[in-house]
Amino acid sequence: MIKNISIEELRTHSVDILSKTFLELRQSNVTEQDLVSLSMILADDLQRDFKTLEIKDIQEAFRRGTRETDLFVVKPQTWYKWIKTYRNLLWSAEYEVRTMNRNPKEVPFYKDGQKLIK
Amino acid sequence: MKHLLSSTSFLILNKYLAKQIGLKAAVLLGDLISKEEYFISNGMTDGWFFNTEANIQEDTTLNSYHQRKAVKVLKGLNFIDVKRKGIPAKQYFKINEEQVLKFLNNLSAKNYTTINNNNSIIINNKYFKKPKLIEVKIYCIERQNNVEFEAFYDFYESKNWMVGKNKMKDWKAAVRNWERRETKKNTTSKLQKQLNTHNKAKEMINKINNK
Repeated sequence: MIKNISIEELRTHSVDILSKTFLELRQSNVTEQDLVSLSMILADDLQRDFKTLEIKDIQEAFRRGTRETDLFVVKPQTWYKWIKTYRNLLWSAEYEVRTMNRNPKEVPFYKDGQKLIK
Repeated sequence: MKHLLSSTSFLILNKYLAKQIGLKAAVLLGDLISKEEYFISNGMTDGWFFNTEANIQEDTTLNSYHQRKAVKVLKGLNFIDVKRKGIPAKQYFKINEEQVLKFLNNLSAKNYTTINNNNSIIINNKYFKKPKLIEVKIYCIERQNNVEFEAFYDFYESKNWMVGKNKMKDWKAAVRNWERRETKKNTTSKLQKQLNTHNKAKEMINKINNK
């Protein structure tokens, strides 16, 4: 979980995620200073507002965001939308299993044994 | 009669210069140069000498409007410097001899055209002279182009300074072509650029983390 990861490690993960995103969006005019600044902001955002998610979830949120939305400006507003959309999927899956008692194997995005409340 | 025969009664004009910069500017330049000579013979040392509009008009027949236009042309070509000084203010001139000579040298190196049976024939008087290694080196240093001048020299030396089947016409242009090719070679792909950015950013983050 993100809350167990140090800010330093989060920054490194953020650089990887954002670099991959820029590459996928074919935006090559980003300087290393931009990338570092954005990574620090992303790491801070993750620690503040998405601490119950996993780094894998963030990677998946970005992956889906670049592929399934028309947002192409990588900024906090964008990644909040992407991450929240993905988190909603996880929450819905949890609701389906815990409240509606559906079979966890039939519910996509369900992750066993995890509380996703902020 | 004597006055008629003296050199002050004639305008001296360089035809090639007049063709390039205009008749009026060439006339004015000729007049200013003869004035400069007069002032030099009278002890002028710093190169600055004055000439009034009335005086120029008398010597060249150019009125003040044409004089101003001609001065503008000559100033633009850096042939002369002009300033006003003194009370009452007079116009002072300084001839940039080097610049004029450079211009005339360039003119003499240009192609001349003659007319023969209504056809214009270009006579190329600019023969190619193969450069020395040091010349190529100096040119490359001047342009700061990182072209391997020795490689360039050896390459064309081995080919007897031929470009394909033709004799080379301008080695400086060839150097510039090499320069362009080198620049193209050195430009990295977008992907490579992004990977470099990623690596640099990671290094920077690590440095920040270690602080």
